[in-house]
Amino acid sequence: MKFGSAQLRQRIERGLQITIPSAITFVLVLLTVIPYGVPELNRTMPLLPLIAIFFWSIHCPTLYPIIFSFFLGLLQDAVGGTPIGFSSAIYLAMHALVGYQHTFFYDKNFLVLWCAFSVLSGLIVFLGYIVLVVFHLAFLPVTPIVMQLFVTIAIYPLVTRFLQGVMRHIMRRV
Amino acid sequence: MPSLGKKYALQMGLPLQAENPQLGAIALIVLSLSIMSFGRFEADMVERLRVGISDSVTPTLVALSAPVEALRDIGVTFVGLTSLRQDNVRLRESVMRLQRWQTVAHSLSQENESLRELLHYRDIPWPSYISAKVIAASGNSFVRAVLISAGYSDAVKAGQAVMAGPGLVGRVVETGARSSNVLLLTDLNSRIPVIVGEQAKRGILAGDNTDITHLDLLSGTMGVEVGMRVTTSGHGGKLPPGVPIGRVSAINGERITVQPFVDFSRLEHVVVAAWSLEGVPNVTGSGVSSKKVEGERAKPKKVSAVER
Repeated sequence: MKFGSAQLRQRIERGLQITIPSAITFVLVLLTVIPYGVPELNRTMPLLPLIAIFFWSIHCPTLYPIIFSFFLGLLQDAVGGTPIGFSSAIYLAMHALVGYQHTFFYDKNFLVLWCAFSVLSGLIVFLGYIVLVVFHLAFLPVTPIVMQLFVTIAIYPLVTRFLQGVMRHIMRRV
Repeated sequence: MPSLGKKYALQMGLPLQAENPQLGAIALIVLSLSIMSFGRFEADMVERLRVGISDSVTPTLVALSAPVEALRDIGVTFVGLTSLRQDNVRLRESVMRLQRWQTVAHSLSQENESLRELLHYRDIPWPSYISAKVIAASGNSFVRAVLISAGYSDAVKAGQAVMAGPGLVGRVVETGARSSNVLLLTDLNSRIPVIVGEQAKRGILAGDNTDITHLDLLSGTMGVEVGMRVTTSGHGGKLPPGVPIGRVSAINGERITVQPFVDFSRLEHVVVAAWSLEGVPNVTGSGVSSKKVEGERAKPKKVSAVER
């Protein structure tokens, strides 16, 4: 009986470990699309899910399933009005690029990871821009996209600190 | 300093890397881009997917936006308190000015009515209004759209005009049962038939994903001046005529820039104008009744989806 409850507890712990990264990324997607009514924030809303996907893909790739990035992208596209599949491709590209260089990333310090995130997010946003230009057959203004990218890179340390706190204090306890 | 991930993974006994993550990701990227391309040619199916997802997440978005709204209200109240005296003076002046305008409007209205009777003028109908809350924005700079908390169960239909206090916001492009996607005037894909100034020069207002819009006039830029009002023309029968949009803010050769009246970054509540040329407001469904009023203007009705 005692063994059974220990096993159950282990299962619950494992379930929570898997749930927390996905749940946090889901909330970050919702926080990205909520209208705040603050002009500066609405115009340059950072791409919070991109930071979370980069973080989880490096620090606990087995706890954050790839398919979840796909579904979160669909969700963001559905509520945000972007072509369905666009955000999924963006998030999955981050997943794929980090996965490709995972052995390089996982033991690097914060500054290296911040630089890596800046380069990867810049590359992904640029590819996203090209995809949308082809999709719409029209050029989109570059300035707001670059501004949003800069804000995303600038806010990376804060979001990462929060996610590290979650890993240290919540996921380790469960 | 080793990363947290390696230490954590070792402590938890987790593998350092998922098996073949790139392969799965690449397969899903191909799937995502295929859905995107498919949506370009088979819009109906992808639209159903979109409204299905946005409908299911609408209650969560409404619940999540409540604390944000409460915080914003506190901020607005605090800022309002600091400028209470100036606001009071400004509002008194506005009331006096508006009272003078009210007198003018009454006499003009009476004159208008008598002229209409003389000419047996058949008026265009007033739209019905459905109020809704903005529950989501695009969250990126690639598109200018918002999600509102009213759908076809509130009689919202694709193509209808969406307005905020000072003017037109955009038009409904997709409707779910309880949410609708609104393409803003400033989006790259937005095209609105408009008229400019008192000469009523016809044109098409187009967005370019910035905060301003551009005007393509059908009869050249002659006679158009900075400061002229731009309103919907009603051509095409989808949008009611005369809805204010903005003012001409710059003219550079053939390029006319229009500054919209609405501040799109502060959108909280909007109204959807259910309007059709037949004189029957386009309203069906729960809680809303349509009524044809002959021989007089149909009074505007209001339906609210804000409290949901």
